[in-house]
Amino acid sequence: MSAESENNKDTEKKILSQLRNSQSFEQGFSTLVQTYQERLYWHIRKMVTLHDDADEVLQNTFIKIFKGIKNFRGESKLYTWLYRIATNESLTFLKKRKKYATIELDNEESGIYNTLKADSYFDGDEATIILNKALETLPSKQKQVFIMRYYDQLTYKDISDMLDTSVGGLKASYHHAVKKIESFVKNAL
Amino acid sequence: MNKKDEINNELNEISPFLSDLNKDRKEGFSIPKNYFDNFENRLMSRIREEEALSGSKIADSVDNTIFSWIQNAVKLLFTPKYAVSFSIAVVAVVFGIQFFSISTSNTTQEPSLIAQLSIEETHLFIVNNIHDFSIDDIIEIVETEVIEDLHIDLPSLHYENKNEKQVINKEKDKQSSFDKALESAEAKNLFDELSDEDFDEAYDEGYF
Repeated sequence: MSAESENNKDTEKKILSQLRNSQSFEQGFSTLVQTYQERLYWHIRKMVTLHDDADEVLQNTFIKIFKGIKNFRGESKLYTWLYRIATNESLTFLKKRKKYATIELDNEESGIYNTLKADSYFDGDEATIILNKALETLPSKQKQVFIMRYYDQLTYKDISDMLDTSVGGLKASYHHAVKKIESFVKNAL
Repeated sequence: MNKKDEINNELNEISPFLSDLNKDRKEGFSIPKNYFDNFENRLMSRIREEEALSGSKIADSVDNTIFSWIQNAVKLLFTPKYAVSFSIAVVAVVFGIQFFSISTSNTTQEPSLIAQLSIEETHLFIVNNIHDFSIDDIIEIVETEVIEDLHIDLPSLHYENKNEKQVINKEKDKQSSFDKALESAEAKNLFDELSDEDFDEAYDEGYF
């Protein structure tokens, strides 16, 4: 086991121990937020793209965690559980956004281009915009798997635990996603 | 081979083109200054706000339920069927209190005004002074028989079979009259199920 993995395990253990004691619950939750906020934020940001949206989803995620942490029995890794909640919250948000989108934004491809251009917290180049446009063309499940594997560098086992999907299914989804993005980016450049 | 190498090798096999692109997920994306330093404070403020909101909602809901229950109970007691027994009960309680008060203080007070009222006048007195009656007063003057009558007459109560009714009746004997009535009759639901027509009928009969 690597030193990083060992360290993560110790951190989880410490947080859970604090959360299980009502007197140290607040301290435990504070440590949890500080430890995982950045990783969860970037996972969410990749899913929802805009900072303001990511901020809202991150808050919703931690509120769900705050309400549900007492029922967390430690059957899976804490981070896996947190990641799963963040993913679900992101998907719920995307569904709502799609439902209430304007006509212009209904076309996700052109919508994301204009949105990124207008976002004051985005200063990426054309290649980055094209990559993000390509992401928007994927079905939500493939997009999720691609982000988790390509950007977050997660193992299939971890993704499988988070999404409750078989490793075989995940490999197939990732393969399809990579091929579609490659094709989109090559055509656009 | 470590985890990152394994993931990169896999990508390189599927798409060497994508493998060469920058995989930094933060590429091009920025955040407001001190965002993560302030995030926890903003989050905790929102959690406290939501907790306070849900707490006051629960309190409001309990208050409204109790208020609505009392309102309905009082209205029901003025329906033709229960009005007479209710009024008698009120007069009896008032008399009882008056008598107790006189006998314990050993003074020569006049009987209270309400004790001299007719049933109709008592109705009027109670309606006009409903805010002076606490829920305990109302509970006190509701006779067990009235509650039991409510049981039988109102639609929210149905027993699956006679045995069940017998079991419930046996249980009822072990409890105080009002607890018995409340628990077995599910009085809150029972009052809630009364329609406006029930109250209109009472109104037409001149009880309001």
